Amino acid sequence: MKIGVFYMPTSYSVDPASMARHLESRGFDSLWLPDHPIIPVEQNTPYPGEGEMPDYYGHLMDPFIALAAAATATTRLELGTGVALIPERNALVTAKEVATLDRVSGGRFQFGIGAGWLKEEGEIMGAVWKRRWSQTRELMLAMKACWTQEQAEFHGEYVDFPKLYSDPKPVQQPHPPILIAGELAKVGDRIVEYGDGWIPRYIKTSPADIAKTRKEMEQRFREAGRDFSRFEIVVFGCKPDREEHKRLEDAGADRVVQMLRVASPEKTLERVDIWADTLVA
Amino acid sequence: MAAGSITESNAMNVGVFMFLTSKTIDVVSLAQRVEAMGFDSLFLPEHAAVPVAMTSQYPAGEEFPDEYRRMYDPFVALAAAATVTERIKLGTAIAIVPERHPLLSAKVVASLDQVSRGRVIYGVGCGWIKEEGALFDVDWRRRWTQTGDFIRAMKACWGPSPAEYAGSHIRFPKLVCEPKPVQQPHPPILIAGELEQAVERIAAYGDGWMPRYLWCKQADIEQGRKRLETLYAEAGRDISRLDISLFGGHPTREFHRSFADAGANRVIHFLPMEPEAQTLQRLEDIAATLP
Repeated sequence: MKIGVFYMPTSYSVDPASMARHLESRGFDSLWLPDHPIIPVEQNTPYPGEGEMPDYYGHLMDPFIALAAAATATTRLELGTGVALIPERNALVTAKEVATLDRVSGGRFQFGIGAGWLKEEGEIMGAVWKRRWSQTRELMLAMKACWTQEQAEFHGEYVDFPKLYSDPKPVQQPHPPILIAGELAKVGDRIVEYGDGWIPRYIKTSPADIAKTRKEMEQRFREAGRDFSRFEIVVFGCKPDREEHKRLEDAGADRVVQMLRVASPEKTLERVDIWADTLVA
Repeated sequence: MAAGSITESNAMNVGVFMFLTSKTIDVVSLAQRVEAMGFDSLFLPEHAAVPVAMTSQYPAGEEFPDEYRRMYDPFVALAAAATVTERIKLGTAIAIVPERHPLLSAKVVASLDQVSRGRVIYGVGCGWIKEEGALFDVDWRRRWTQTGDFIRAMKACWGPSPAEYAGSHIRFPKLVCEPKPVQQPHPPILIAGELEQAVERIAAYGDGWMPRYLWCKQADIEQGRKRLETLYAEAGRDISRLDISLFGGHPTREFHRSFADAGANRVIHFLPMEPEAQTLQRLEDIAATLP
């Protein structure tokens, strides 16, 4: 089982290059970073976690910048967004950022994507909230055109551009894997149409759900004429426990991402070392 | 020169600029050699996408170079360079401000300044390819106004949290957009352009000037600096930290001395698209002119 680590890079955390270097040296498979370009003060959306939204959500480094810094501190560690909030970004700029990051990392980028949950944030950044997954779909299809075509064009409701050049192309072919977050039925449709894998949250997904979804996706990929051999399930969050990892692996998960709480750099690295000692093969 | 001013010793900082693509030297090798050889800085350009159909004329008059279509995202590439360097400044020449959401720019520039521990130079402009601007809904006729508005919005983010802003082209309610940059109050903002309006913009919201040698000679630098002294005095701003970085020129000691005397504190030499071995040789040749 591949074990990755997610953390929150801020001006007061371990810096991303040091974190990446440490993770690689301790045998972890990947580093995953969150994405929240801004956090509005006025919020009417209930925070999905416990209590009030912590302040650090507004302090997170841009994940593409942080992962690029991590890339040149490492040689093997996979580098992923967990998850990039697509409707808050521009298709052309993001396509170029992803391709550049894949280039400077030698093909180690994993494109975890989502549509966001904080309405007030999304709307400030340009999300059409009620249609954010339709919007995400168009942005992703447009990006795929940019990554795979010498002259790309796209004509949709939310994204529309004439023939243009978008280069470099990514190292990974046809592009970095697109891992789509979500646990509802519709995530399956999205993955079949424009994704390469699934990011479920451990707190919302049982091993039985994973096994069931994996089977469904295999069938749907076959029906759609898509290659299932590179499909991945990346579970975010987990009890840091070997037995639990085994249960997820048996159910069909390919990777589990342990999520670090925000803490001092010292305590953060202590926790990483404990996980390395107890979880990594 | 005033004591403590950036050009007190008339020393010239020498940096380099390159279009990084998948065919050139890689960013790690480039950045490491640029630093090891004693250069001051590495600058990268930006063109997020380039339309196939273009009526805008390439400013230097030649055929539109293919590398414009293929350059790396400068912020991602500079973040990669940040990890393998300690001293060199990492700059954009130039970031096309109106093509990006200013809140994302604020986040990206500050994040880059964090991972580089305070080495960013934010060279900015408004773009010259009209059809490219259209891809990003740039308000083409008012693109400098839009640029100024976006920069003011970014400064609101880099200042005390929470930020809020209402301007001609962007508005947002109270929000948090951190981290803050390492440099205080923010990385220096160098404004491109060679006309009178460029110096007005610098006095209004910039920290320096990035004129092109193609359009700007020693006398123009002297004149620009004089004009800025007046505008800065009127605005109550401290002229001693004004940064004048000349883009382009001849990599010789005489050239450096002459432009330092005229008031520039940096010259940024252009590295053409060529195989890695040739780039490294060219760097060595230019490095021979460093003090």
